[in-house]
Amino acid sequence: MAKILVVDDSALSRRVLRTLLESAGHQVIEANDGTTAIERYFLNRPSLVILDLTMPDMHGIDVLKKLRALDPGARVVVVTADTQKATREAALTEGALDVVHKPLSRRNVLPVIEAALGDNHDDSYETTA
Amino acid sequence: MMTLTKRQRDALIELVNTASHSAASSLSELIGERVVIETPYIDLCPIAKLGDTLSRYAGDDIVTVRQGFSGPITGDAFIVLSRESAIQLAEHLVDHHMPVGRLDVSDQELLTEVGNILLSACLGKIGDLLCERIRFAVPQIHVTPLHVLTTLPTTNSYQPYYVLVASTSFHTSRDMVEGHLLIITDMASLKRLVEAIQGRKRPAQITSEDSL
Repeated sequence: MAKILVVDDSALSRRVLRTLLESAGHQVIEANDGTTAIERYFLNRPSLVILDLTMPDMHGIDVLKKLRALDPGARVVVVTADTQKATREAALTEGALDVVHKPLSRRNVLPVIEAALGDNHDDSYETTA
Repeated sequence: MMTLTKRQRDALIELVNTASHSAASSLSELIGERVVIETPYIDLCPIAKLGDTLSRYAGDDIVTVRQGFSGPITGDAFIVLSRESAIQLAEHLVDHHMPVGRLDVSDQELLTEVGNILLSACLGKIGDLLCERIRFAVPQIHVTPLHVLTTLPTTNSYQPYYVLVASTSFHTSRDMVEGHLLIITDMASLKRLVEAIQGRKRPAQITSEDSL
């Protein structure tokens, strides 16, 4: 089990991700924008962040940059409808572990999450900062 | 009157065809049915006549998801569904029957996300072609007639005199859902698209030699 922060302005996407992740035994925290995501990250110390890109206050790439600047050990998987190769490269360059394209399904989400979590299933927070 | 050459038009049709098949693939994945895409239609339209042009694609009783985009190209993309198709699609995705003609907040939320997925898939193909990242605005759902929508302030600040209207229709194999995909861009974006498709270094020429 791991604590996972889901960041998406779409309540529907957050619900879908919550259902998928809880069915796999994970604990879910939600944020509906970038600013809240950064606050909740440092408040809750999740093992993994699942991050949407197109959001109203901050673009997901900017959230990713900020998280990784404040905590270089932050583990982030990007989940987006944006299928551009350049977007994927930008996310990976900024330190995302992987990029999952919507529509979301158990098949395309859970294996990536498990791989991104690696051994971090116990919520122990380690930072390389 | 400003027009496209046949070669430019064919190139744009090919591009929109590829992009809309990407959207169709996403829709098919969502609903578990084959989605059929019609051959795209390309129109170069004076901005003053955009409302009339768009009214050809859909009546007044429609649901539209609109997504602005900017970067190497600028414009707005729309998924246009009749209200009936929107309800059918929402019903299919949430697996419950809705009161006649009703689309509540959660249904609209669902359709916005579906529109986001379809439009992003479509525009993503165009971004890949341009080898430059297109930035997407947050999608918005409207239950307003399309010609009224186009009189609203656009998501972006482009103020074209002419616009490119690229349209394609789609329907599912059991005719559950029918809709249109529209992309509206300015002339500078049109030139970039044509250049990218034709792989030319020099600016594309938009001429009055060949009519659409």
